[in-house]
Amino acid sequence: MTDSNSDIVQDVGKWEWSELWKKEDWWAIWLGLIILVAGIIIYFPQTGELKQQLSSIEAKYQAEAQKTKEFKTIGWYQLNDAKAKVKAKDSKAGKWLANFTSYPKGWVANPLDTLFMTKEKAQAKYDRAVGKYEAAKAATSQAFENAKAAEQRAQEAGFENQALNEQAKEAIAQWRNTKLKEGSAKKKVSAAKPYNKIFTLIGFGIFMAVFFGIGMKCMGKSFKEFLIGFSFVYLITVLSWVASYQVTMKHYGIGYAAWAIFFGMLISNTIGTPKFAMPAVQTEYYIKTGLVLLGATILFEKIITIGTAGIFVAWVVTPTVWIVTYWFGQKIIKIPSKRLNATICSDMSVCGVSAAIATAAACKAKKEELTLSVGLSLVFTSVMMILMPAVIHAFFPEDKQLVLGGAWMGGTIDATGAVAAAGAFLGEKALYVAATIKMIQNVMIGVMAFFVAIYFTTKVEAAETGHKVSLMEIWYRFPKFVLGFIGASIIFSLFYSSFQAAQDGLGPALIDQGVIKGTSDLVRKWFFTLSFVSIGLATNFRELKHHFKGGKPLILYVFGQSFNLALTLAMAYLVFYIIFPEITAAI
Amino acid sequence: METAEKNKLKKSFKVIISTFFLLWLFAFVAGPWGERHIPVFKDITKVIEENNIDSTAYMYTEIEGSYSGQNHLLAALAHEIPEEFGFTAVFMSGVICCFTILAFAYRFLPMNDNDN
Repeated sequence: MTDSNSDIVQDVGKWEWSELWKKEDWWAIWLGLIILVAGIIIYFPQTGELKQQLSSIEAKYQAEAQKTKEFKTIGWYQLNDAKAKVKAKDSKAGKWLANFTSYPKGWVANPLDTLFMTKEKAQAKYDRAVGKYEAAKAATSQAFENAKAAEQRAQEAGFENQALNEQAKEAIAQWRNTKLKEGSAKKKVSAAKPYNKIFTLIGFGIFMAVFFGIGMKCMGKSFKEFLIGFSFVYLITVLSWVASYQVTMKHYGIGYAAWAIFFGMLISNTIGTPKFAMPAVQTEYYIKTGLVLLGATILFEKIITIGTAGIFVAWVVTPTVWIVTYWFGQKIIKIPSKRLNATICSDMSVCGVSAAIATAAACKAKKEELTLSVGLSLVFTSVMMILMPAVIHAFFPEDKQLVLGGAWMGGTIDATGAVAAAGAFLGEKALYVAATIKMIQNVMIGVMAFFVAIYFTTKVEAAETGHKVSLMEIWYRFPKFVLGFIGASIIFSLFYSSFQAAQDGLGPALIDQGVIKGTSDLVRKWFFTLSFVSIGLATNFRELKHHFKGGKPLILYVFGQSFNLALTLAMAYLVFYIIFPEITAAI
Repeated sequence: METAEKNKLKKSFKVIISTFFLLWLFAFVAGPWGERHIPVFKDITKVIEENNIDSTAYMYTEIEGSYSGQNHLLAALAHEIPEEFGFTAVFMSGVICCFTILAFAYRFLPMNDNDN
């Protein structure tokens, strides 16, 4: 049974069936499951309709898309653009859910903009955005005509004239760039609408309080006390989102996790966490429920996205870096806590905050250890987001900046948002490569969390207790929520692959752009923010300082990241330019 | 006793107010100054705004570029090198490498500081 006041989640060394409704690990699984099943019920009935839409898109563009292999034709892009627009979450229910669970909006100077916008202000914003959109639309239209003419000339020569092929390729690339800008400008026009977030935020807060409160009640805690405490934790959660969407903070990549821990710690280390809030300071409960939902995003078919080259950069380098850094931590700098060592290794080598959360929960790390790992990751992410594209731009040969640079950044910068920003700075292709490598690394979270759970349960805990662990003992001690996490990943991977097998594009339309983005992702980040606020509210600054003693965590991170940078660059060069150059040419 | 508590509370509020002042300073003075003066950063912030990138995102699902990238790259590989696309033997060797490395780690990672 987990003790909310203790630092570590402790499993009692015996099995009782009542654990299924009394332990928070199981409650995390049930609550996660409820949300995922709700997503399935909402979106899966659209299967037939979406399949038909995708079939008609293929019928319309397929011939045009496949008329040559010399370059990607306009038809090829139109086919993929049209397919990408098919999304289950665009249904009425999906839109309602997105609005109900939405975060406070971005703001520049007035924090109230985050909660509401008047008609007049929205109109002024619309007027500013619409001019840019019209200009972008006209530029796209012109670029499209040029691309069409260039493709026509190449086609008339039977796609055998290299000069004409190159001209067509160039004109199509220009059309794509203008189209990308038009898309962004269009989003700004659509976003310029009046809104009032106050009532939806209150409504969603009540929903979450009841949702988690039911589990608390079943675990023998007071429902009423939880509700009262939750109002305080939720308020800090909303404040964290408001802070993370301030424009400067957004530019520096200082996200909700940093703010949640920061505000929580500021309160707990100054005026102190109010006693009435303590029943809702349930770090493990929120985090594990969020992790079960995260499991559904770990879709194994994603790993083929960038072919063999990608798997070697993301799936061979990552565990190698993890192991070498863990060994360095244990043997060279002798970091006192194996759990802190493992959490920093995952956070630095896999993908930052999400991997740190999963690993910390899997190895039962202390709250302060997770805080420290997340803090290190956030600082280095901001620095690397600025430094890496600058280095690539200055020192990489121009023909290697996009693919090699993109793969290097995708494999080393911790957070996906920072990877995307740094990649987009270099160009669209770099963004695609960087974001895809990061996505494949994201899938590694499942593998690493499972490995860490097994390693710590069977080896580390056995060494700590001083006796050999039997199979039943492993079951008793194994963090059960990991089963929910891995189970969700396997089930949704199977759904994804079977939908894809039935119709190309159906997997992304129903799973990515349906259950995941239309249900689990809408609430997962809220759950993680609640857990980070709880961590902050329960963390004493002095305890945190104790873990940082001698700067060992920093030395560990710097060593690991330096090794990661060197190995990822070497591997990316090797696979993208020496072993599989045809993949580089194709992308 | 009461005075000591009052002083502690006063000190706490002083810390909170100065922290919020420092945050304000970063958000509206130091941060924007950095954006204007750190080379490359100005261009990165422009890209973030133009492309509406959530640079605070932690998972691929939070970034539109991940999905556009996935669509583009999958279709490109399937279109241009279909024989090397998907779960080929060479591709699976990468996955096997990953699990072999982890199995090796499970067996040989040091348990104690004195272990080899």
